[in-house]
Amino acid sequence: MMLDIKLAQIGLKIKNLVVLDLTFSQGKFPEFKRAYESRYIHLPGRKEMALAFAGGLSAFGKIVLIYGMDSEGCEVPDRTLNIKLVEEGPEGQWEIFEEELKAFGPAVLLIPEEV
Amino acid sequence: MNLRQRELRLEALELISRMGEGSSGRMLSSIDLIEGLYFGEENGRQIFKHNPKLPQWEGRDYFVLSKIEALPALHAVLQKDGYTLPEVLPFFPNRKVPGVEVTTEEHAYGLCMAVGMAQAIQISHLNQHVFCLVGDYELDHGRAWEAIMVAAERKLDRLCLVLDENNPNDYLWQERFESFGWKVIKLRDAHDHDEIVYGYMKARLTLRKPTCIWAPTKKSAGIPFAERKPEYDDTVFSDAELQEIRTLLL
Repeated sequence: MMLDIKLAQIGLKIKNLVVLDLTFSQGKFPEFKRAYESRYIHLPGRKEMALAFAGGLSAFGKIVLIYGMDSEGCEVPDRTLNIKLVEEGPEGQWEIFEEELKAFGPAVLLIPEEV
Repeated sequence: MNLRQRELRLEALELISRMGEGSSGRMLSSIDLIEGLYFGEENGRQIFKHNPKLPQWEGRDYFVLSKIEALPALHAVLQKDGYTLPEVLPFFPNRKVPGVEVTTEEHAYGLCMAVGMAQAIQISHLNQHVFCLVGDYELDHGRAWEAIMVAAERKLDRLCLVLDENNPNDYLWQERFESFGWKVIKLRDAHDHDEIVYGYMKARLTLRKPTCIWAPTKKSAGIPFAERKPEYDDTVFSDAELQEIRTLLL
């Protein structure tokens, strides 16, 4: 998976990047998990709590990437939380992803699961 | 009950009276748990690291109020502790108020957020703790148990959940939490300052698992004529009633 390798590379430069993987049952980021075990959290199917959990992480300056969640039902009571939906570019590349992450700062980013 | 606990009761009830709505009974069940955290000391050192003059101090411990009904109690404690609060206080926890860490309007949301904070502390190897007050009814939500499960799986020993059980029932809290891998500390008297502080001290020492302080409390605790009477749960006391409570407490 292209995104996994890209994130493993970005993770080296952005030390506060945390990945929440909601995919069931196997995680989709083996490379990232191998490289940064403490920064990879597999929460299979736990959509209900994932956003608030990510909010807690971002309160400590983390950039949290939630994989497997789209903006549907993304209602949080904390309006001060930065949330952004990220989707793959038209050419299927994640090239500008690193710049986007850096620009956005401590926040929660949502990536819908690939079909 | 010490003088500070009685004064705080009165101040919190006055806040509810000024706001015109609130859950007096459910708020009073939690007030001693919050007071014990903010004012508890061990050998002259705070058990909850915080600085009212610098609410955003980086080395502070975090208190997350998940039990929304207890907000006036938190405001009263913060005010007494020296935090500068705005004149108009919000109805829901809002982190724009100094000393309030999480904005929430939903049950169990604060708990999920507290687990995330404890996870961030673990990732960054920080020497801080997260304390989270939840009401027993909040544990009816699925997301609360998802968070409880994650906290145990990730061995978040910097997380201390304070369960305010003001509605006695037959739930086997100890067995439930222990089956998920939590440490449980049951308070014998959840309104006694020393007992509460001792509970927090033990929670701070727990390693490799999160801690739940199980506090069987009483609704409207400390107000003799209202104690454990459901009709006082959501009462807003009038000025005359507050005067009577003042005479009883001080």
